[in-house]
Order: sequence, then structure tokens, then C-alpha cells
Amino acid sequence: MNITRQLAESVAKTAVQPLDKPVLMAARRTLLNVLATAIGAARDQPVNISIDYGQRFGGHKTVPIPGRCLSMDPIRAALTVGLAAHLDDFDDTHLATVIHPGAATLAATLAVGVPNRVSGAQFLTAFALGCEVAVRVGVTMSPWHYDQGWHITGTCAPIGAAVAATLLHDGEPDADVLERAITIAAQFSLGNRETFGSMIKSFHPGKGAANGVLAAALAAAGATGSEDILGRADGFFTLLASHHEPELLNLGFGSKWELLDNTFKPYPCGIVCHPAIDAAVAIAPQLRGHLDQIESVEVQCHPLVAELTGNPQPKTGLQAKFSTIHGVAAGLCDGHVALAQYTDERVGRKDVVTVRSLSSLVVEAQRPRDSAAVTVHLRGGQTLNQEIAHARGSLARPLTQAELEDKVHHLVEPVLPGGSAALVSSVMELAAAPDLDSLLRAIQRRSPAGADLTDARSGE
Amino acid sequence: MSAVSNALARFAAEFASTEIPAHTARIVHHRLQENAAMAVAGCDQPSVERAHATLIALGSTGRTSILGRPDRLALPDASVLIAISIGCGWALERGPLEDVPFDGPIVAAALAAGEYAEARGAAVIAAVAVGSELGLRVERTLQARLAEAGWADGAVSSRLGAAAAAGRLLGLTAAQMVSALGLAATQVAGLAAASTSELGMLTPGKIAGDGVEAALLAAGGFEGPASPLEGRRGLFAVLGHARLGVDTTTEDLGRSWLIDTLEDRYEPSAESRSSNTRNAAAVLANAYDLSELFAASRRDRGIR
Repeated sequence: MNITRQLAESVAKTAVQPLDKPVLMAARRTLLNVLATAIGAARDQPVNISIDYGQRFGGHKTVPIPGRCLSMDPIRAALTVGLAAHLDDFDDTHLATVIHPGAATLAATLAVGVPNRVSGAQFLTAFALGCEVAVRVGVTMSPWHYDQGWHITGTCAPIGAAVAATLLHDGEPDADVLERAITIAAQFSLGNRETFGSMIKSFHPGKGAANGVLAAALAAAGATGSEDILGRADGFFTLLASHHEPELLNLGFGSKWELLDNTFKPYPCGIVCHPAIDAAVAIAPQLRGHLDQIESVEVQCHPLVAELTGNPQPKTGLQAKFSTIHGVAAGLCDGHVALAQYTDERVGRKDVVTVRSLSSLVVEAQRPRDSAAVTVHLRGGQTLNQEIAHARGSLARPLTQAELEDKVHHLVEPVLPGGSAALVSSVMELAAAPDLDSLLRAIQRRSPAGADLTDARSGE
Repeated sequence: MSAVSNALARFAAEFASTEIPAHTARIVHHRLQENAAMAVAGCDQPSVERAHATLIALGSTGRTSILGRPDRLALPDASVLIAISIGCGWALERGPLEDVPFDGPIVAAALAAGEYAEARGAAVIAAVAVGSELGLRVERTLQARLAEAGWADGAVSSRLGAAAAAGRLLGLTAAQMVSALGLAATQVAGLAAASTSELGMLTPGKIAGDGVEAALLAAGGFEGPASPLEGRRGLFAVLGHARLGVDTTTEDLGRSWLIDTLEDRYEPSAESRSSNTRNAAAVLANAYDLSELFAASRRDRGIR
């Protein structure tokens, strides 16, 4: 069967049914987590660059930017929000594929949902299905696609975003329009892993969202593509992966949700760093005041750790997000790892540079991906060791609701003082909300006068 | 910055236009003239109208001209419509299944960026030249494999060339140009399977717009990796050609030109409605800016 058509029909059918409670909760938590990361990064330089670009070359400003006191046109808003939500590498992870589905899907749902004044339930359903489709596209071609060097978050983003955006256009979900949107979005894929450690990594979900919004709009306008772009022999999956399993794309759609396996990062860095950071943070209290006694540090880890995050001496915060050795060093030095441990300034400070220079990765082929061990050798022969069987934030140890809300608090309060509680309640109550007003009030920064900056002409 | 990406970026940003061989510049100028004429011929075709309506529905507005049309949009969006118009014009001239010339999006990006930057005609021609050469060289490194794998013609060269041409006209430094190339190179999409559908007509527009956007973001300070093309997981690697002839990409760069192998002149059909545009484009090398070219294109369409 035409798997592209089948996917479109599955989405259309599922979209008109209420989400099951576990799926609804997974969608809420994913949304809350990624709104928080978008707000947390809202004032960072790459976001400012995107905003400046959008203000100068964008169109009518109808979509508010989380954490800011301004709006942008849908395409440039999608770019900016998706970029912001992924910038700190603090968002979500579907561990089997390593996709971070929330950022692009959030960006697309805001970009289309806000101007179309959709209800909270419509928004959540579109968000859930957008994430689900992005992940299923990834599942179909994992692990071969990522192994070839593609950034799977970016390559799958346009299709998930296009689905979410299409569902938020006027009217009942239409399988014909969905099929066209998916087809067009498949043409707009992007993302290679050479960009890791640079700003362009976060560009991928932003641009993926923008591409998905554009694909949905073109599809709604009647634009067409080729038949079964996903399943055909010269189609999307064939070009982007040395191997794929097409039967997985639609398997159990609507009854088995990949979204339920989406997890939330406790640390703002590559997911494979996390078990080692857990170990370092656990050891840190025993080292307090004795960092100068460290003779060497060994990190026993899965092979992917060296492959993806093997940089031993990063020079910038972005680079450090792909350095397990930096994460471990920061954990040992500071006793905790958060955004502050990934600023350029922190990365370059002498204490952490020294500990990094004493550290090495010891790859163990049989070690599970979510486990690690850190061994610190001190002068005088003492050894400190911590084994982590399952990292915090893994499927075996997911963040509790309290831990997630604590993360939200730490991300949101510096940008929207006093705003984290309102964000949590607006997201958790979104399914019953008749519109997005409460959510929008919670995510926007108010001007001193209390009003938001709204529509203004392009500054070009 | 590493060898290949650095060399191409420096070439795109800094190569003196006076050093472009006269015969090479002539080919580029002729092709620009033809592409501009095709844009006028195709500017009211259904795909252009659909793309225009879509961009307007998404709130697009601005001051950059679109060949043959009365309306203006923001710089990236204007380049989208010019590129789609070019493709539609060629489809009218040669038939819908013929390949759109790879330099259509590059010309579109250069014309839109050139108007925005108030560039002289000669500068626009030079920008198209360096963008086209850069794109051709990268695609040569990949050529046989791209087509075999199922990527569309121009999927790689056009977007890189558009970013380079627009970036040059926007005044990017060599370092910024590496970032522009990185933004373009990470967007490799373009399936040959879409070529025979309407999406095949729309894709050149997306390519031009993406190239312009890459240049604008880089100009604003957006930074990418040092080796977006030749890096371990860069463009050449993900398309399955790690280290295969990568160094040939920059062999004799600036001294030998792949542009010289391109078709130079094309005689349009008698029904072509672009005589004013062709005449304005013919003297572009001496033009102070692009205003007469865009005005001529509107005259061809009966727009005051």
C-alpha cells in the first residue's frame, strides 16, 4: 500500500478522537518541557539573530515568540521558536531514535494555531500527532540514517511539523491535504551532524518547522507532489537511509504511541553525556575542597559517547554540549550541571580546563547506552567511584512531574519572573481551554506598560 | 577554517570581478539574460500564482521586486517567486519535463539581493558567476553519485550557489560566507522523484529563498561549523562521498571555470513576451543598478 497515503489517513482518523489519558499526559509534559526550553533560550544570541532577520525580512506579525515581548510572521516565528527550543540541547529525546521532536512541533503548532485561534484540545492533538509522526519517520530509518551522518531531528522535523500545521488549518482533518503536506515536506528535509557544536544544529528544528508550515500552506492551496514519496523506490527513505523498515511507519498508529517513550533531559547537553554527568554529580560532595588532589578521571561509557561527544577540550559552550568530559569535569567541580556550566566563560575557566585535561573516556562495547561509571583517582591512592545503571531522564528513570516542574522553574523564572507557575497550569489545563489565550499570556514577556507588542509592518 | 570550505568561501566573497575571464563573464551574462526573460514569460503561471498566494496567506510583505509582477515582497520571498517564474518560463519554452537550468535559483537570488543591496549590474553578473562556479564545482565532486542516488539536478549546486551569490552582494566576509555555505549545505533536499510534479516547479523557489536566507542569517552573525562541506559529517560525507575527490573541488579555483562548459546562448521562441527585459539585461554590465531591469520586466507585462 501507499505508505504516505496510509500515514495521512491514520493521522486524519486519529485526530478526530480524544487522546487517551497517557498520551494526553505525554503530550502535555512534552509541550511544557519544550516551551520552557524555548523561553529559557529566548534571549540568547542565535535567537536574537533570527528575530532580527525576521523583523527585517518577515511579514505581518501574528505569532508571539515565547519569552519575548514581540511577534513575528508564521514562517519566521516557526524558525525562531524551533531554534530557541533546541538551542540549549535541553529539550526532549526519543531515545530509540535520538530525535528531539518537541522543538519543531511546538514551533509549527504555535505558528499556525495562534493565527487560526484554535482550541486547546486542537492544539494539543496537533502537537501530539506532529511529534508522533516525526518520531515514526525516524523509527522507520533508524539507526542507519543517523549513522550516515544525518541529524535526525532536522530530517524528520518538516514532516512532523507539516502534519501538525495541517491539522490546525480550518475544517476537519482531510487525508488528501495531509498526504500532500507530507509529500511536500519530505522534499524540504535538512540536517547533517557536522553542524553539532555550532548554531546551525539548532537551526535544523527551526527551519524544519518553517518548512513544515510552508508545506502545509502549499498543500492547503492545492499544490501537489509525486505519489507515495515516502514508500517509492526513489523516495525519501531510500535517499536518506542505507536501509529502512517501511512497515514500521504506520504500525499500530493510534493505538501504540512512540510519544509515550519521549523523555526529558535533566542536563543541557547531548543525551549520551547524561549517565556520566549523573556519576560525576554523585561523586562531587566527596571532592569538595579537594579538586587539586585529582590525579586522573576515567569515564567508562558506551561507544556512542566517544563517537558523538568525544571532544576532550571544547572552546565554547556550544561545543561543550558535545563533550562528555566537560560535563563530567563540570559536575565534579560544581556539584551540579545546568545552563551555567555551558557558558563560554565557564567552559574556559582554569579549574574545569584542568580537570578535563586529566580525564579520559574508556569505551566499553557492552555497556548499555544509558549507563556509565566515573572513577576519580586522587593523589595518595584514594579512589572514588560511582556506577550509574540508568541515567536520570532515561526511560527507566524518567523525570518525575516535580522534577520536570523544577526544571521549568529554573528555565522560565530568569526570563519571565513569577511566570513558571502560570506556564505549568496553562499547559496542564490546555486540553479543556476554549482557546490559547491563557497559554499565550503565560509564555509572553510583558512590556512595562502591560501590553504586548502586536502587529507592525515589516521593517524592510 | 578548513581547506575546501575556506577556499570556496574566500572565492565567493573576495574574488575580484575584474579577474573573471571575459568569455566566462559573457556566458554568465547571456544566461542571466535568458533566465530573466524566462522569469517574465513564466511569472503568471499557476505555480507562481499558487506560491504567491501561499506567501501572502503567510503574511509576506516587503519592498523587493519580482520580475514581471506589480507586487513586491520581502527579499527572501521575492527570490522564491523569481526562481519559480524562471522555471515556469523554461517549461513554457522547452516543455514541462525538461530540466530547469541549475542557475535559475542563483540568478533569482542574485537579482533579489542585488536590488536590495542597490548593486551595480556588473556586480550582479559577478555574483552569479562566482555562485554558479562554486555550485558547479561542488556538484562535480558529487555528480555521478547524486543522480544515481535519486537527488534532483541542482539540489546541491543551486542552493550553495544562491547563498554564495546573495552573500557576495550583501557584503559577507569570507568567514561569514563559510557560515552561509554551512546553512545552505545542511539543506540538501531535493528529490528527483518530485521533479515531474508541481512540486518540481516550486522547488527552485525554495532553493533560492533558502540561499538568500542563509546569506542574511550569516550576515547577522549566525555561525556554523568550520568544514560544512568536507567535514566528517558534512555535505560530502552524508551524500556518501567522504574524501572522494574532495580536493578537486578547489583545483585551479579562479583560473579554470566550469562555467565555460555551459550552454552559452539560447534563442527564445517568437512568442516570448520579454523583449524589454532582454534588452535591459543585455546592457546590465553597464547598469548603475537593477531598477531598469525590473521596470522593463513590468513593461513587458503591461504593468505601469
